[in-house]
Amino acid sequence: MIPGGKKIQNAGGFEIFLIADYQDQDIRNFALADALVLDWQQPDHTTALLKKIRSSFIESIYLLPVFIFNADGIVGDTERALSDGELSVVQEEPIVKVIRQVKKRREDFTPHETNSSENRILTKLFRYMYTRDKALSPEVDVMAHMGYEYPLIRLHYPAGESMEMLKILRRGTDNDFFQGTFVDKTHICPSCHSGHLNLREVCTQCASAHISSENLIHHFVCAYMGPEGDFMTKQGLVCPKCNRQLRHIGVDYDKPSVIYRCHDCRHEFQEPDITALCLNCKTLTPVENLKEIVLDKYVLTDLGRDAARTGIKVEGEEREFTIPGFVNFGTFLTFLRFEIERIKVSGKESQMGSVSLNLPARLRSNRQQFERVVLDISDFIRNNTDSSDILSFASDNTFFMIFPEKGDTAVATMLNDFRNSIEKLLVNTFENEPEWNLTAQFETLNADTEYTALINQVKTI
Amino acid sequence: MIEFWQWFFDFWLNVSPERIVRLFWYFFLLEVPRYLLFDLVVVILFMLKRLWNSSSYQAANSQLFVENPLISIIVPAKNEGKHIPKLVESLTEQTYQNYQLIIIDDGSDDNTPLICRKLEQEGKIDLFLRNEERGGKASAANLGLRFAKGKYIVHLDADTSFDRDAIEKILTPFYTDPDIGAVGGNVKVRNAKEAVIAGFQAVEYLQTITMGRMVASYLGIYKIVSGAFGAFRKDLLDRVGGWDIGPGLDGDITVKIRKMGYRIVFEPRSVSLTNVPTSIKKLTNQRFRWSRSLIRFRLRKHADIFVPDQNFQFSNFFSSLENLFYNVVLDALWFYYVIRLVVQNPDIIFLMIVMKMFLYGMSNFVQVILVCLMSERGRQEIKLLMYIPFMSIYDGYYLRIVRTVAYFREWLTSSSYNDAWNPSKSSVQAKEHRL
Ligand SMILES: [Zn+2]
Ligand SMILES: [Zn+2]
Ligand SMILES: [Zn+2]
Repeated sequence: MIPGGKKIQNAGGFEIFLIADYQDQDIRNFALADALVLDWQQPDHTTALLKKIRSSFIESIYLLPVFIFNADGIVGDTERALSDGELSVVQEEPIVKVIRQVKKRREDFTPHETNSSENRILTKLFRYMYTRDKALSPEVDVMAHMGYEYPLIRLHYPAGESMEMLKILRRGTDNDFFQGTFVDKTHICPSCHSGHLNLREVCTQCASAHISSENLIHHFVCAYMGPEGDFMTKQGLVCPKCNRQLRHIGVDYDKPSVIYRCHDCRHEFQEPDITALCLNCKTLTPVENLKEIVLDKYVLTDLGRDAARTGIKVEGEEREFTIPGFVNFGTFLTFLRFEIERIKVSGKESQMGSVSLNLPARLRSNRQQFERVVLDISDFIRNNTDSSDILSFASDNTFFMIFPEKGDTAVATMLNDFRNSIEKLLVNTFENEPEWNLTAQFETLNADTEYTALINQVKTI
Repeated sequence: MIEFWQWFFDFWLNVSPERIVRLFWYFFLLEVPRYLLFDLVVVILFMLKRLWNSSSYQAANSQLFVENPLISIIVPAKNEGKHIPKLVESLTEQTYQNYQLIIIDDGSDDNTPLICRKLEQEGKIDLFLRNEERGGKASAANLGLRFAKGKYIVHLDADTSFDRDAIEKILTPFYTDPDIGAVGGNVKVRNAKEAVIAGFQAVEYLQTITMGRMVASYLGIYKIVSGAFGAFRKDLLDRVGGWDIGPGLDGDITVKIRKMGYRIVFEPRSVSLTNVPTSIKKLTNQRFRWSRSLIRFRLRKHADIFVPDQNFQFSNFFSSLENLFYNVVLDALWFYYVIRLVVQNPDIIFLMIVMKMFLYGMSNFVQVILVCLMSERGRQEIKLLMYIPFMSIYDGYYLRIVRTVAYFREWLTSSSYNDAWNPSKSSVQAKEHRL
């Protein structure tokens, strides 16, 4: 029994509840239900509850068949994408159909454990899509940061993290779990990734939007050519060169092009630049520098359906190694925050370095070999750093290091040595696979360093 | 062969000088005085005058750089994108740098707009104006003029390139005499080595442009500031409303400026190079167009020059008359001469032709030597002497026939109004208004 829910009787004897009262709903109560019907009388509440259900990581909750009972209101694209359908009258037939299918599909699932949050999200997404034969489509959403959303996966990413969201989808296609088909393209602000852009024609010289255009007129008989304004008189259009009246376009004159004039710098030109003003962060960007996002619709491949059944195992598995002398990434971030605070007080400078392996998934699939390589590299790094340096390895990819007050030049040299040695090691290990792209970089930590900004940056390495 | 030459020399050595003159009266009476003796005298006078005025020329040159006026270089172009980067480069090398470059694309249907927009973005072209639909060369030039901000307008063809000091040299004359309204630049052939026909044109350009215009300029009857390279006072162009529908718009605007009482001069030291047609077919088409415009503009549009009213100026009258006389009247006379010759002296016609090649060769030889002596690149141009023996075929027969055919066609049918050189929308109007 669900508080505030009304059981709907049905021939199959399923536990189907109609929820009209959203007060104090606890989604944990839904785990034993077979399906829910949410009343669309209070759309905001319906939406909130729907999102709560779908963002759970508990299988019996996020896979729950949920319908929207909608007598008159209009259901949004997001709600439609998150639910199993709209009902204008409460009928048992469509509900039971979904319940049966979901139950049947769930029988294929084997338990799945992972400590990689990416893999958890992907597995969950695959299972949802698998039980429903549903595609993951981009939906237009004016409230969304990008203007488009993948509602189901967005639940796990805050508004500003669209790139991370798209990255995980790309991982799905890169590993052949998904097949993407083109739906649309959008352009977003390169600095904040917002899709709310104001595109305007601007002066090619001073970038002012305060420009206006005027037609150019060609008077055939005398070959005079100039802006329409040259011809404007009280008597209509009169040629300033030959004083004849312009009567008939195409016969005695035409308008072969236009001219733009900038009211700020007086520049004249024919093809204005187009720049985008980001309505979110106010950045101005020439359209050609906007970030282009391809919005695909994703369906599961055979491999994707396999991954749904068993969960994502090896590929890209983010297992936390226990590497001697290395702290886990969470601890590392704590150290990093302490170090920044310490620096602020002392007025000194420290460095944070990183070396990313960027190995393709293929080279990580032999787990044993991969872990051995990582351990070799870790040994090397530990032996060549001081005991006061903080070391970590994250995301199967990147070594992070904090070097308290070591000095930029020393760190630069050191990272360069690391890179060279690691490269040799990789060449030896993956002889015929020259397909990596090793990067090493460092950040100077000083009084001006913003912890949150740095963390965001670190997460994208 | 030897027999022929024996006959040739026997005949010409034994014939009386009087008979030679009678046989070649056309050459001796009309062409030697006009194109050789006269040129010789005038060129010497021209050089003396230049020497005499050299200090005031220097002063004018300094004055130009003191004032350093903004000038506008306007270049109407259709499908000439490939030439534009070279043109831009040749301009950045100029000793005179205070210019605004305006390129007007008259309805190109190739990649010209792409090339030019990029150069505009890079700041190498100050203003690129494009008509999606072609309006004709005059309207393109007028559009450029409308947006030009310079005190002087330098009008160029896109396939022209320039000596480093060409812009400086074409502007300097304006500072020697306030009555100068336009200055013609020298145009020479860049691709003389590409084809024999181009070599002939290189010689022809030296004779008719470098030499011919120098003489005309000295006499005050210089009449065409060539569109390929000419400089104008912007205020005067504005007063005449810019260019009228072509073909022949170069000559037309020059006449208009002359009619306002301004002097037009030629500056042989301001040198540009252009590519000439390398096939007979293209050359013939080009010349048809040039010749037709002579009839259209001298005889139809500016016929008032021959009418002694209050606007009458002797120099304009003489300028047009000379032009007509030497091109139209003499051509007709030449046919009369040739036909008479064939009828009266059929036996020696072949001897005549060879002799004529010799006489023309001598005359051309002297003329080209003279040009090379004055030229800044005389050492290269002297090589063109190898074309001299055959110039009479190019000049005396080929060009004359093309010219005459064109005159007659224009006279009888006004064919220039149907020339594809103008878009039909303009031609229809031009014909209707008898322009
Ligand atoms: Zn932004
Ligand atoms: Zn501006
Ligand atoms: Zn007009």
